[in-house]
Amino acid sequence: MSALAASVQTIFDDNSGAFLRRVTTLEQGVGAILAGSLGESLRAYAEADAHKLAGSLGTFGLPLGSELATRLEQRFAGGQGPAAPDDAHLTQMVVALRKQLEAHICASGSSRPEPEDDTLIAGLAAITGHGPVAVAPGRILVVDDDLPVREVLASILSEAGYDVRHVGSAKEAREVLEHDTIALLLSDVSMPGETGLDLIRFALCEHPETATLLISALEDPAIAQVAMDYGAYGYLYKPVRRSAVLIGVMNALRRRDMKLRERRAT
Amino acid sequence: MSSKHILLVDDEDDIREVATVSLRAVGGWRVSSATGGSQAVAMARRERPDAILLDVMMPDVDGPTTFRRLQEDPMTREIPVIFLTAKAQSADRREFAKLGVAGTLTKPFDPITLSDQIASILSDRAGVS
Repeated sequence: MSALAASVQTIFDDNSGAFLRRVTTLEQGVGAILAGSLGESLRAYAEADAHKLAGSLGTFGLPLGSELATRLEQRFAGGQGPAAPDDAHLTQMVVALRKQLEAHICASGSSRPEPEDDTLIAGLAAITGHGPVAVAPGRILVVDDDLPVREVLASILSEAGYDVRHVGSAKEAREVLEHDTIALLLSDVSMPGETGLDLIRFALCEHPETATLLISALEDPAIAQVAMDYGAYGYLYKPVRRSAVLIGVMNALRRRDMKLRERRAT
Repeated sequence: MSSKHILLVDDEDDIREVATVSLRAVGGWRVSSATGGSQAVAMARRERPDAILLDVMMPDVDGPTTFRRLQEDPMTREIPVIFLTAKAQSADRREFAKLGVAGTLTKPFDPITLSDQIASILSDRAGVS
């Protein structure tokens, strides 16, 4: 890789959180359009964020991302209005946009080639390339270097009827993820070696069907935001109440279930 | 001999960063940057760059307004200005040309060729004048 390409890649990595945040805005905007409830404030944010993505992504080697963002920008410019002919494809467009961005982030983080995905390159047909994904209650993996904490978390979840495993490091968690089907990863943020943020980024890239939920004693909104940008389904602060753990886990699993159903449907 | 100096104006961090790296590494430009139109006008007066690469859509003062302010000021009116605009607005190129800008480049741009594109626009302008 040339020095220029390496610098461009570094800039992309540094800004990937902002790119993901903008895609989240577009997802909210598309959801509102389809629900017939797009307000002016969200419309303006979504149009502006689509504009920024349209202008940026191609520069970082994501020309299709720019193309999709341009089309979404044009749609948001039109406001709620009457249903447009392309509205049926809005969800596919924004899902394809996130998919391409996440694939680029993963390729960058692991230094492996971007996964070849002919349907993605072909455009919106990307979504139809997915086969059915089994939706099962699945197993929960708790990751925390503090043994008493993870035992308490595992106990809370077991008593609630969940199938739970627990490990003490991100490294062990990766091994479990490789060999077991994990529906939800509940991980501490601050651990020796690889952090929980690194772990959920790995999970997002390598095991996208695993939902992630972070738990931390650090009440830092910036970390929580980064976690959400990476794709975490929630962020819990320690000390955490039993009810908060169960509600967070239930919500994360429900969202995962919806996501998998959406993929099967498209 | 000192390198040529370009003032880069864009409210987006990633665009400023990647354009700066590109212009320095490929074109050998000396680059300074501004995040909005008002700052750009002040910097142009102070630094008198050889060219200005100016984003069109900015929340503070947009590109066309910034350009007009630069034109109204005897200290900056001779500095060639190149608009940088997203594809969705590229249809406005003719309007931009009427304003008197040296040229228009489209975002997203290729970091490898950005410098050549700017050189080409400046060279054409020099030829015309």
